[in-house]
Amino acid sequence: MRYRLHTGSVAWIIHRFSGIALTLYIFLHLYVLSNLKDPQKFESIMKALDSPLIKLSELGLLFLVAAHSFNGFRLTLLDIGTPTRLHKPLFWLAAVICALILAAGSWPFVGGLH
Amino acid sequence: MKQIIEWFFQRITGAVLLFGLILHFYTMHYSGADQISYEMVSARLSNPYWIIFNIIFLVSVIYHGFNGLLGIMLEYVHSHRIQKICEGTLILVGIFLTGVGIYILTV
Repeated sequence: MRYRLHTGSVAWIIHRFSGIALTLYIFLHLYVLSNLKDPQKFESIMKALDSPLIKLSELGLLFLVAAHSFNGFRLTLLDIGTPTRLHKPLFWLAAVICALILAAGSWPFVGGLH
Repeated sequence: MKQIIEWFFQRITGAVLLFGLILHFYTMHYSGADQISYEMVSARLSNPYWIIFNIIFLVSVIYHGFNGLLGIMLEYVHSHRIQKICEGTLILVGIFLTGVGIYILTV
């Protein structure tokens, strides 16, 4: 058996894996924030996280969030009965929005602000 | 009925998360440098509006994430008993994480 890749199945794969990854990220995020109890440790962790590799993975995180958000929005539209002929255009619309957000997001991430 | 309510809450929390994340990213990455310093973070956490926002955001993300995981698990696990164990475990972990999050919010 071979899996057929088309916009719907690609969206399904991305949605599933980004969903699992983002849920696991909650643990990591809360762990980092739990260091707020100790200001000095928090500052040292924030300094350690200020590295190119972390910035790049934050961009990856933004991709997961953007893809999951706009595909989720698309899924809700499908659930409420959007005509089948719009399913593919909606996928590409979500993909374009996702790409624009990644482009906008890469500026403060990689560019400088934070 | 339970499944309809779960579906509905998954959409509601999804919408909350989309708007919440826009605000979250804007605050963290577009409102000038050093928004993640200890001072700035603890200043936000002493603001009641941010506390309310953070609690809603926290509860939404944990519900959405763990309900999503449950949905995935139920597709692969067919034994009713193991499905119940999965559900119970995810609820416990979700409640634990919510507790951790609220504990963090009370800096």
